[in-house]
Amino acid sequence: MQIYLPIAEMSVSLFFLIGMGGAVGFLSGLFGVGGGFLLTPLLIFTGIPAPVAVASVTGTVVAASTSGALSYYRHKGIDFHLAFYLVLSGVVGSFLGVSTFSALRGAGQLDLVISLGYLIFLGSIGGLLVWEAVGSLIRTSKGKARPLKIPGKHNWVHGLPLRIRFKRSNLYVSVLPVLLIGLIIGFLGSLLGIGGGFILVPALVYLLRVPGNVVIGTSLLQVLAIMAATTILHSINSQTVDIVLAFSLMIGGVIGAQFGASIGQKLRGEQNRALLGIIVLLVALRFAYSLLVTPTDPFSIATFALGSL
Amino acid sequence: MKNIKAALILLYLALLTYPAMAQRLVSRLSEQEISINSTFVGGTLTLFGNVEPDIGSISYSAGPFEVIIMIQGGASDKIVREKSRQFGVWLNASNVNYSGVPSFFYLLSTRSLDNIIDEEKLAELGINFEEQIQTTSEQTSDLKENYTNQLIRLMKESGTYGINTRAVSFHSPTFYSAKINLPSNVPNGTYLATTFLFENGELIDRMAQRFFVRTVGVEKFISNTARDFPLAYGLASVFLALFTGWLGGVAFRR
Repeated sequence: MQIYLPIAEMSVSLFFLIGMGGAVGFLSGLFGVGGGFLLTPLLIFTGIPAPVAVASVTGTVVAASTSGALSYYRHKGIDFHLAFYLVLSGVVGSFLGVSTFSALRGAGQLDLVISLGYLIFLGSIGGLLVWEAVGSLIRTSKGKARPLKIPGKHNWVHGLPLRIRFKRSNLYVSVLPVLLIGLIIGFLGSLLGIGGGFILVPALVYLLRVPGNVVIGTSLLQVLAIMAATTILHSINSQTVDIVLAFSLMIGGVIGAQFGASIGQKLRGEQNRALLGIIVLLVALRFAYSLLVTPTDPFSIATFALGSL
Repeated sequence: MKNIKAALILLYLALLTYPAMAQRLVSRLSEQEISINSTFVGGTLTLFGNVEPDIGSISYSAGPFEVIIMIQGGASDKIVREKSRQFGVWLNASNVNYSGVPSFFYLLSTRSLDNIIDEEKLAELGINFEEQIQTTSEQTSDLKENYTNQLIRLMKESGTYGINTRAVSFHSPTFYSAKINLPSNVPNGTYLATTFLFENGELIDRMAQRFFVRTVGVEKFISNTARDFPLAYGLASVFLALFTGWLGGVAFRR
């Protein structure tokens, strides 16, 4: 069954969209990531114009994060106090990201920055996740007791001033790194058309030492808020949010996210992170391929309103 | 009497020396408006017409006639970019800007264009792809020619540019019809279908019709709201997403 997308001005198979939303939603619930980093490239590959894909995926990520966050909320897996500070600076980062997005699009270098951004961030985060998780799994299999917290409860981050106590996370840390992380995620998220959960989760775990039982829920809440702000900013700035496309993806996404979240609760932290790391690395490799291998068609067209050039 | 006779002779002579204009073209479209709704997968437009003797003409020819139909969509500005390897990675390195490029351009004809009329005359009438595309960039003409060809190729691949030299057929010596399939990604806007009538390699008449491609119903409402009330549209998108996510969470509550 074909459905016409009014903003993209083309028709696509409805079942294909729902299926794709479902598969990505499953991963999003499983790992506590928005799923944007998978969905945006998939849509562009389908032939949907990149600006429409990026802007509509932000809306879809809101829905997937909402159902995921609700599931974690019921399991008491959200630190609202911590999320508040992350969102505060995240919205500022989102403003900066959307304006950078427009500037790069005008200069014709948006594709390059997206590809490089995906390669650098997904490559390093994915590598880090796999490395750490594999090491941890090896230690566990050798029979050594798994520490309740990641070794080295305190690092240099915990020496900074303006400390705040986050009860739910059992943390007493400076607000500065929290705000900085929020800002960076907001900026990268809106610039690269992703939620940023796959960067946020490791940052919270490795830099702030947020415990595993609240990190995903808190991350989902932050992604939800930032993506909601980005959806509105894209609607105003570029008018490329296709509500029909976003809604079709959402339907699959929320269903997939439920299954993902319930399985995610059963997986051990290391297994969870190793799987996420592998998927993130695969996407990074796909972008490395597009940057390094001679393209089949070096030419492309960008369309603008009459009289704007 | 003498004066009337002289006037009649003059009129007869005048008509004799004007035989080429004795034919005129009457063309029509099957639709004035192509409506795009939620299940739109493309549309079909039929163009037909008749070659008729001009009123008052004494002699007329019965052909054979040839027809070329040119369909143009609304204009927009475009940039063609080319990737090349710089610093080890592939990136958009050079571009040519185009202004007023038709968003849709199709040629339908009775036979291959060069068999109907020679290329120079075609270009004069604007009946070719290159004539439609004007660049505003100041680059060497070789480079611009290459980019223009690439633009035409990419538009043809997307289905919005094309040529079909067998699309127009004559059912009688003077009556023709043609069919065009508009793809599902046909751009919204006002279209112009110009029909050119040729005889013995000469243009003898032309006629233009306008038609519209428009979204209707819910789709029209959505695209209008996105354009006219972007803040409300963005808020509505977010609420829809929150509601869908919440509903999913409630429905699957364990």
